[in-house]
Amino acid sequence: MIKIETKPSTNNNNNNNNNSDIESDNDSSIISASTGRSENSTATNRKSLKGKRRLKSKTKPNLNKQVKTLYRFNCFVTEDNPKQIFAVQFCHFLKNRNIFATASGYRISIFECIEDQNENEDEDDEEEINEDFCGIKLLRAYDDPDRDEVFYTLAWGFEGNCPIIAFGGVRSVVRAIYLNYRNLKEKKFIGHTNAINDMKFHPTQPQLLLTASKDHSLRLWNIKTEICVAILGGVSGHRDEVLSLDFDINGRYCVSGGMDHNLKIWKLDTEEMESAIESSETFFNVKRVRSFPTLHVHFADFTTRSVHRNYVDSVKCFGETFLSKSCENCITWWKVGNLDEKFNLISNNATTIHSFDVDDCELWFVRMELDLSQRFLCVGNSTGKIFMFDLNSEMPTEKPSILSHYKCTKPIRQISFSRDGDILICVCDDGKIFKWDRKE
Amino acid sequence: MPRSRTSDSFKSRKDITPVSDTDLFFQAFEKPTQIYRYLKTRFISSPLFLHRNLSYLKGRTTRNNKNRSTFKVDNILSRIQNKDQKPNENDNLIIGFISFNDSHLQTNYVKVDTKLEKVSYKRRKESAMAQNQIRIGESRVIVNTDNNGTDKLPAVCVSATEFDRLGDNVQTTYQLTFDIESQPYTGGTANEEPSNKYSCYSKTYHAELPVFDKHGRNLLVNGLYHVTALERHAFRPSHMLCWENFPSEADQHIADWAEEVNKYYFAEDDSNPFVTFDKTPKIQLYMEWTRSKITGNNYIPRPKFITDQHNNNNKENSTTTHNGQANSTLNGSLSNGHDKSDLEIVPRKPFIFQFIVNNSTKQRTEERNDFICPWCALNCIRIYSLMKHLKLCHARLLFQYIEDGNKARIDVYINEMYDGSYSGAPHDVLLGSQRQSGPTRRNVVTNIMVFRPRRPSFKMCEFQEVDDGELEQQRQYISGHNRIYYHSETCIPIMPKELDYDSEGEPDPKWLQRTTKQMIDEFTDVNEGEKELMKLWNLHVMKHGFVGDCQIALACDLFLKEKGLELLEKNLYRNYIVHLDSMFNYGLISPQVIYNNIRALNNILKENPEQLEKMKNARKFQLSKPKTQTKEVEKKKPETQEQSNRSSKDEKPSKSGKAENKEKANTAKATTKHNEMNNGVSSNAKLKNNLSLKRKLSTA
Repeated sequence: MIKIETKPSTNNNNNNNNNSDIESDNDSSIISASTGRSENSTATNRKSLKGKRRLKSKTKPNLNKQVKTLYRFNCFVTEDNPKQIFAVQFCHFLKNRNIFATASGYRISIFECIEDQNENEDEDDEEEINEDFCGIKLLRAYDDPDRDEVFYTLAWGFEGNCPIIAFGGVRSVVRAIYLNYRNLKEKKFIGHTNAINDMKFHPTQPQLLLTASKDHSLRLWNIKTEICVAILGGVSGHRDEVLSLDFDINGRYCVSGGMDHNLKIWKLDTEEMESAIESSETFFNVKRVRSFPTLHVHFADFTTRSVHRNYVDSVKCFGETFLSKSCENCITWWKVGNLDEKFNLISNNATTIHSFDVDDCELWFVRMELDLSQRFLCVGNSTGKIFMFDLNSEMPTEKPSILSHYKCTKPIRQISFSRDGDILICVCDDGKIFKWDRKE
Repeated sequence: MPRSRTSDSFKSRKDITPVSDTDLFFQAFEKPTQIYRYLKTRFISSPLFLHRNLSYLKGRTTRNNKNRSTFKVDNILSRIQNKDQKPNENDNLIIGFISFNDSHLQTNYVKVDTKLEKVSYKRRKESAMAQNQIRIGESRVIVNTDNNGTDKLPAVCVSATEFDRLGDNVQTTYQLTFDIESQPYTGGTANEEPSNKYSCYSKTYHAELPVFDKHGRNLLVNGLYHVTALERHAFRPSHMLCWENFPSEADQHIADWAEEVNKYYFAEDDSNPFVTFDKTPKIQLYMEWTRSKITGNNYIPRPKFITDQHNNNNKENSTTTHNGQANSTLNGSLSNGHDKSDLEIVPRKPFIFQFIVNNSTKQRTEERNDFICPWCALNCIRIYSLMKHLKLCHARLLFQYIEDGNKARIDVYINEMYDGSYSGAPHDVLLGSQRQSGPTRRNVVTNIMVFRPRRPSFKMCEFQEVDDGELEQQRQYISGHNRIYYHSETCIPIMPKELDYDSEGEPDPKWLQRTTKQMIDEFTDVNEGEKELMKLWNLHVMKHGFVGDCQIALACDLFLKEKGLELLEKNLYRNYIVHLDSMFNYGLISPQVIYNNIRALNNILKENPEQLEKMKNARKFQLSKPKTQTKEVEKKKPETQEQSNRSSKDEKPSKSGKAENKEKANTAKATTKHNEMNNGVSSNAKLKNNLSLKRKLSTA
């Protein structure tokens, strides 16, 4: 179905073939102070802004006072046919290589971040390499045969030694490509009845993939046996598109946010769910006379509407607390129950611990990101700036550091950190991919 | 392969068509040819069906069931052993002489002198070849016919000791030489008189057959051999190959010899080697490696296949037994009585393929005698089978059979109407993810239970008209079944195997039960006892799916059977009675049903005396309480049935049934009873699962 479009090319002609526009000035780490609220980018929003949005003028942090950033601009590339890039994800399972994938339109592209190996190379045109060198190299691209497909999300997983890239979008098919095979090995998962908005692999059981869809539900899939293990949604599920989800670090529960302003927590360690997951392991396609008895979880274990008053388009588990983001110019840090309560899902209320304020972030379908060590919390805004909160610093709540580049003006949909946090990749609506390096 | 075949043939066409026409032709036929070539290879690697099972290709079945009646398991081993018996070093070579063929020869018998020639190559001096001949024997062989009417064949035996290959490390080739002498044979029993009409001169022929090459490899397998024999004066020993250079005048005679041979035997300009082979004199031999030696006086029994084979000996250039066997069984099955009825015996006619593009361009192939499909190289054996095969397996093309005197022609058109759309199970398209490399079995959507259509008799006339490419008879078997169904809950496609199981069979899934209970609990205008009864009753109705008034009586009976004990445990005896009463008021059940229900309930009570005790206690407890005590809503379990009734009454005096309004202000006892009625009414309203009805009632 999907063909491999571009073969990995060498360093030298890589630039000419794949990336039409390359900026590479290592020293132009520009930290421009935000000059106040600018116009929302009207260029290519996936969905229009919701009218109900609350325009509350908040007291912004004093941005004229510069905060020292920890990241430095490295380079950027533009995709062949510039489309909105909705998702970017580093593969965190590879130790030595920094490989990431982007989802733009009907294409999934896999890139590698490469180092400038001047000292190692003994080629003639060493000097030219230095000039033309680009830290991002296209490895592969997969095109969907349907040109109307728009991929919204992707996730990296693995099975055995084989990395898997899973992705989904408008056409409501979840696809998984096994990357180690010479021939294309892909699996597809049909079941969602509307667009796929978000997906993540289970942190401890790599064969499980959870997807969030426009059809108001989440589905848990067993990639290995190609079974829909469970459907989360229904009577007390989301009442509108599910936009975002995240797993607890142990995979005991997952949290989802949707267009119904709700945040819901679903337990995954219930007896029913565990037995369903277990039986999905041994339930094989060949022998089945009945279909797998998919578990329907109609009742979320915790629901709150009090955290956000608008679409919840990004949510993260942060210990036993949660970070979530709506198009309200802030990231909210909240927990279940009262401030002094221990984590349990019995209580009905949620308490906001803190709000991280961000400028120009009223666009929805913009994801925030935490790096693996959960130190940096960052989110892009609609004018192409990245707001980064260093949660390890003494006053993380005070002011964010802002990463910005003069070419980066369009909304940043998603940001991804490499495994060690040394590289930050952000993707824009105009098809640009920016690479930022950690300062030593 | 088919493509190259056709293109080859066009080169030799005499009518030189314009280039554009050829291009047109290639354009038109390239795609289907490529496709069928691919399918052919795929078919070889993983066949979808076996050609021999097709009714119109019966001739391809090369085995019959004759041996089934006498079959024994133990025979398999011996059969395999026989088959595996390869000529090994200890085997003797038996040579049976079948016949000698030379059309110029007029005698009936020839004398064949068999010798074994050993040629040793010394390592050091290759030029010096040690050569010695061992005389094996002499036989009398029939000429120009292979059927001498007896079951015996003249034979000689070369014993294993002659092939003394292990002796020393010299490389030795062994070859058999046959010296054939056609002088009238005089001795022996057959008292043949040489006819005096023919000039009675003697001719000698010589033939050679290598047995082991110089690396010791055996070149002969068991079977039938045709060995070319040349006349003695024209023969050169084969170890001096004739395409050597002739360096000197001294060798001129060799060149002369070659010329002569060419003139004599290869006079026709037909370069077909098989034709040439046919015309040269040759001797037919039967070779067998065996442990045993010839027992009789130089005769062996005639192998069976040779007798069957003599019919088409002149046509088949078979050199091994395998071909011969195949042919014999083919002929056998052709003459089977069973087949004869279906088969119109069409005489073998040479035919050509004629490719037609746009009704004008015509390209022809050479004349052919074999019935091999040019696209998939399938030997169809008969013209009918070939036509049927072409028509059914190569639907992208149209074929028309045209007979013209002694020759026939197959016109090939492009099928413009070919419907290449997928007509199999849609699951394969949708769920093609399991597809690995190579073809796999399709998902089966239909099951043919019994299908035995009347087979039309096999007549060539069905190919005489070109049809317009509509495959009317193929489609209807799957029409209506090539659609995909989905599970209504999960929206996952239903696989064909799962179709038998109804995944939606559950009318009361757990979530619905839970939601129903939750919603009933949220009512504020009914007491706890009523809520419990409503839950029990509504879930009961939901589970069994009662839909009509006439089913209520049945529902009541079933309710008591299933939930009777639970009802009593929850102390809902009176609530249920009130419920029955209100249903009676609405005309849903008859007094008979009420009577039976109460009796059944009492029976349960009798069987469970502890429940009776419990009920008495509850009653006592209620009666002992002052009547004016409870005003507030009690969030108690329904043990205090009457109390809760009372509380409900006190709170909502206006919520009464239509008939009971006047009794409102009566005595406490009456109020209780009335209240019970009231509960019943509300329960009944829930029975209908209709809150608004209840509200209407209460406001009435």
